[in-house]
Amino acid sequence: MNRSSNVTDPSSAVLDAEPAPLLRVEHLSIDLPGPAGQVRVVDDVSFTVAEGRTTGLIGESGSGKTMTATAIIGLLPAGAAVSGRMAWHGEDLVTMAEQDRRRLRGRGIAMIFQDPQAALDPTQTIGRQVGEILRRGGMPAKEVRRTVIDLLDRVGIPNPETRHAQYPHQYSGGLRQRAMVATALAGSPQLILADEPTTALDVTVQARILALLRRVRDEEGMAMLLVSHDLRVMAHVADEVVVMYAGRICEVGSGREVLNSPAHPYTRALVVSVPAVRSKTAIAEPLPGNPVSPAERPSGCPFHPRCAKAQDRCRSEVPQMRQVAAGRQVACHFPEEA
Amino acid sequence: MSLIEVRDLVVNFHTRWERRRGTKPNAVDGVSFTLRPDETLAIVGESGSGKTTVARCVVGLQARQKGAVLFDGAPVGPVAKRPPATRRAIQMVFQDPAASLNPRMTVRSIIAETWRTHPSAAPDGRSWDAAIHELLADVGLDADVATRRATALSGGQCQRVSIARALALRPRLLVCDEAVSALDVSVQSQILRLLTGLRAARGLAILFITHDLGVVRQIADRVAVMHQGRLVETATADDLFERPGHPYTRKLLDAALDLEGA
Repeated sequence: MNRSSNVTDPSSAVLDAEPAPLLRVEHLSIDLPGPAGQVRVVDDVSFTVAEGRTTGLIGESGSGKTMTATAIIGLLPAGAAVSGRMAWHGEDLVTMAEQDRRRLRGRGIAMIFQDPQAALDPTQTIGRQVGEILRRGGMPAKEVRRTVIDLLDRVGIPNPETRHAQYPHQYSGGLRQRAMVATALAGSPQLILADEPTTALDVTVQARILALLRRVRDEEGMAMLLVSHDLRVMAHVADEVVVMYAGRICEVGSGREVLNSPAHPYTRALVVSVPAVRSKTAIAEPLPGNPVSPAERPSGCPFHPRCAKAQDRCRSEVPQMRQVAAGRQVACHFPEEA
Repeated sequence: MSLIEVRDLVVNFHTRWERRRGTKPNAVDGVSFTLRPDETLAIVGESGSGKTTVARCVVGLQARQKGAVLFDGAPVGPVAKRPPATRRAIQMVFQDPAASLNPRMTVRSIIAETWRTHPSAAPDGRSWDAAIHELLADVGLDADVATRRATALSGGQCQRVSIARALALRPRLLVCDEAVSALDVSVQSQILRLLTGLRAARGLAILFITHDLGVVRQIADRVAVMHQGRLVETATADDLFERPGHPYTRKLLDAALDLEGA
């Protein structure tokens, strides 16, 4: 907690503005084969994930946020065409051979999936699944067991000595998600991708998992790319956020600044539509229409059909990302004052 | 008088053996509440708390072991044994917008089906098509949606069709089980606006089942908090959020995240 409040403190913003980028995504585009030909589901996306920081990827259905994360871990469906660069320790993940990719997966970059029920194998014990990457790395069985128990303990699973020998069905939803976090930590990755890690969980459990993820970042110094549609989750864990709409980025900046004073009209609409619990808010003036899917992305700014501020220029010209403040970029012809 | 009264409701899903042993708790354990004709009551709780089971008992989709559900003061049983007028009067909107509509039927036939089941609710003196277009307009859909199938609609559009289908029978109570939880945030406020507008225009009572406390604060008049099958607290929305009485309610409110003050 301390750490996150330090880095967003305006006085230290200049010093902390450029922590070493661990992953640099540049002009990433992904085309998937659809019923009516290739569909560009991710279009010219660029952002960085800095060492030891949490970057949040915000978006609604069809925004391309999960596809972006899937591309980073290298698990895109067959037939996906990827262009652009994903720079990782001097290498490019886009062109990396599958063999090297596989070595990286789990050890360099690990992923936590939304539905731990579906991501865990029901026929294997939790301990076996958490320790799989260690065993494959040639660690002796005794040491694997000890490490796994230690991992389960670190993610807050009670009685790890007995729990490690149990099966996923003996775990509650929250404990399963903790086991997923332990599985991700097992390979000591430098970057964890977490796709909606708390969406399927109850609020009280959600709060505990988010605290765990923050602790992982602060204590283990791991970088995280958190993918979620939930702005409240982002506000609590993301240092930087990237807002996506219809496969494109609308806005990038520090989590606090973007969520407190959104510059893109879409981000603004998202922010005002989040109901508050600690104060009474009126139901937000809804955006017209539905989120567009990348297959039917309109010309110009993809958001223009739903935007109250749209002008002729928005209908014809795709807005490019431009800097509006330090560390703050917006793709809008008429951004709000940030 | 209250529109709905639920008295000492008990529901369990025990096997015969579990019942004999008597150690497994009830899914719903002695729940009582009332709902006024123009009121929005939210039932909140975590998964497994029994909130959906209570809603299903009110609609009559779930058998109960003990207790009573009264509609307009008269006890009502499972939906198949309810008089048609009562069945008409209580309609439900489900969580998964796509799964609650038959993918093989057009929106027009989905709505017309309700009138074939309940001829008393069918529009008289004008064409069904005109009435369907009017209903679609009421829920903010264009008339051309009538000829489309649910598979060709977005999540928000499906949920509007579900609401139109419920409204076609001119119900007095709408039971919404996590009706906005599966929707994108930008669509969620559209549906919430729609529900509150309909409540005002038609004097609908709404039983709103959700785990999202922020949404509850925006639309509920009263809130009932469920925990492990029991109602731990029932209060007006203002009281509950400002002065939570039960420790579990406080725990829920503390755990809820806000955008502000993160």
